[in-house]
Amino acid sequence: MVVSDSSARRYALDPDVRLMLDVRDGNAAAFEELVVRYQGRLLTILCHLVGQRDLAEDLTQEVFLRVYRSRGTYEPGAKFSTWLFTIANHVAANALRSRSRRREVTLRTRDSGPMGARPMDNLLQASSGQMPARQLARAETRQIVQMALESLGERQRMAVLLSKFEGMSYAEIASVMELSTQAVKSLLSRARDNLREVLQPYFEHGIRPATEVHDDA
Amino acid sequence: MHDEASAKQQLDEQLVAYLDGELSVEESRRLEEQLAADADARRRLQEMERTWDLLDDLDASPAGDQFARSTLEMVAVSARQDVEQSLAEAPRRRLRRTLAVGVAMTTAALLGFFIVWWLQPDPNRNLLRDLPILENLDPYRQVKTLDFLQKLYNAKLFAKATAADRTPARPESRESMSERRQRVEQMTPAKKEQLLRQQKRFESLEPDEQLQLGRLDEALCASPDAAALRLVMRRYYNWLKTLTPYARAELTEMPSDRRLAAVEKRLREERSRSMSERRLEGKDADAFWTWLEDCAVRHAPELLALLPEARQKELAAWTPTAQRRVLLFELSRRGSMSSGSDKPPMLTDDDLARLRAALAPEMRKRLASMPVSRQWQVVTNWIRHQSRQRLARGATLSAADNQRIARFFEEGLTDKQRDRLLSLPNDEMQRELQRMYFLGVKSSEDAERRASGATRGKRAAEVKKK
Repeated sequence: MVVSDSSARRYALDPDVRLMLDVRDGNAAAFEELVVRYQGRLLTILCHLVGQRDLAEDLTQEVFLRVYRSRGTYEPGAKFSTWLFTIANHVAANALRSRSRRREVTLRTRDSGPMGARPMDNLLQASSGQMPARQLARAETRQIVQMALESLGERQRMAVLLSKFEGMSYAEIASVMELSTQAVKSLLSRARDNLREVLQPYFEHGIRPATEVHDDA
Repeated sequence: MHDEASAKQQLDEQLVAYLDGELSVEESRRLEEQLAADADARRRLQEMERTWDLLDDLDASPAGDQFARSTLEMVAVSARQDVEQSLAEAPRRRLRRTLAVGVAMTTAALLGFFIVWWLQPDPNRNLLRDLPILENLDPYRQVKTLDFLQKLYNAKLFAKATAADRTPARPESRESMSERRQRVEQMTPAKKEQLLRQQKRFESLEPDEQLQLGRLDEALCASPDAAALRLVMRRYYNWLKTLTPYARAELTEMPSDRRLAAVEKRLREERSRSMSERRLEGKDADAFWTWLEDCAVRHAPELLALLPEARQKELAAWTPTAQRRVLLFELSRRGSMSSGSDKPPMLTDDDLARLRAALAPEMRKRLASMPVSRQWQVVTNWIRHQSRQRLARGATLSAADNQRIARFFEEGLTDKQRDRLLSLPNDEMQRELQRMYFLGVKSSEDAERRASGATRGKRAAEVKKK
């Protein structure tokens, strides 16, 4: 059982797997510890993924609830963070699906795209009157980057966030998003090409990107 | 066209994978060769890298304690609903009932933790919530309000460092509940036991006083001078412990302005007595105590003669340690009772010379520089202080003596006497108990009456003067 030995060693290196096993064995303090350790990381990814802090908070709590509910069946078959973000990916995908369904019904006339992207002109107009130039430049950059991110399809965005914020390898992202490594490779390459397309003109010539949404495929 | 697009896509994938460190050594080498020969590919790589770096500007979203708490509450509530639901459905699923109940029980056990921890007041949760108060119960009860503590601090009455400052302070910043839990879990059983006793004491206080202590703790935590204030509080409390119980109670009862004035006055008096009140420390204190014990043995016949005849006979049957201790008590009692320049009658100038020889050079020189009558005054005060500190320690007694003292406490005292003892701080109670045991209840109570009577007399005299 060479494989299982080596993976067992790998899990022993991940203290969070140990914590989750404690949660499985009924140790509620271990659960609290996991919440404290991961809430910020989850919230960051989910905030950028769904573009709304309050929705991201709800989703983060939903993820922890699912973790708690599936504690009994937890098998240390992956790094804990990989398992956690797999759950987060499902939760976020469901939420985005139902949100876009709701939008079709109620917000059909609004031109903000299915990812809830805000028109960039409004953003810039709102901020430019109040901030000193350097701060404005900084805030503006952040907003443009945020817009560029929001212009990606949801799967590209998730892959980008996992790569950027969690520093995950292609194999780990593949495991979280239930794709092949090759598919992740193409997904990320397309995502980064899209980002380049949106951001390059702005930073070279000051041309603001349009708020169209790219397809994942 | 299609081939061209596909080739471009493939190059992009390789470029991105290269940037992400996902290419093998061989693949990287081949791509680097291609990049060296292809300016377009190099530009594309740079653009990809630059735009990727821009994403570093995106904000992280921190989540605080409050969010963690609300997550845990949400999970607890939802888990409870699950249990209730599965219990409600159980009859309809007869075949799986046993299983369902089993699952429900496991969930309920884990759920218990959350409910207990987050939703309901339970003893452990209260203990952790009140931990900062419990660990400071006595000092807090003496200080009472932040206002008084602040006044003490502003008046710089306890600004001087003391030996007790070195005792490791409890965490003075705000601890999270999980940090508190961790700290309590790591305590020794004796420490936990003590904490539980403090909790019982705290919970037996009037609700108003509990609230007052809670407010003091909160205000103290929020104060920008928290660390300095706590230090002043510790010093004040340690100083209070050196006062007689009567004097202490008197101070505690005063409103904060009058209390501050009274504390100031007392400290002034103590200072004016300067040398005579000076505490002995370190080696000098040990040397002094050895000297006092030696005196008790040297003057044993005279000390024994001072005791009632019945007591003398009783003593003959006691262990040598216990006999020595009685003599020591008697000697220090004579020391405490003598006032002004009086010295314990059986001590001689030879004894004084031996003491001087035993002290460290600095203290010896200082003592020797005074007239003999003043020296005795100083020594008499030392006897009072040192015996107050040292006689409480039962460790030097044999187990048999300690057992006899314990029996004496159970059987030899009236309820009233026992209550009085129990109301004292622990070390003082030990000292009193030993005094009652070794000197007999009556003479000990006489001494106590004399002490408090003297204070009252003095106060009456002060009132008359005004």
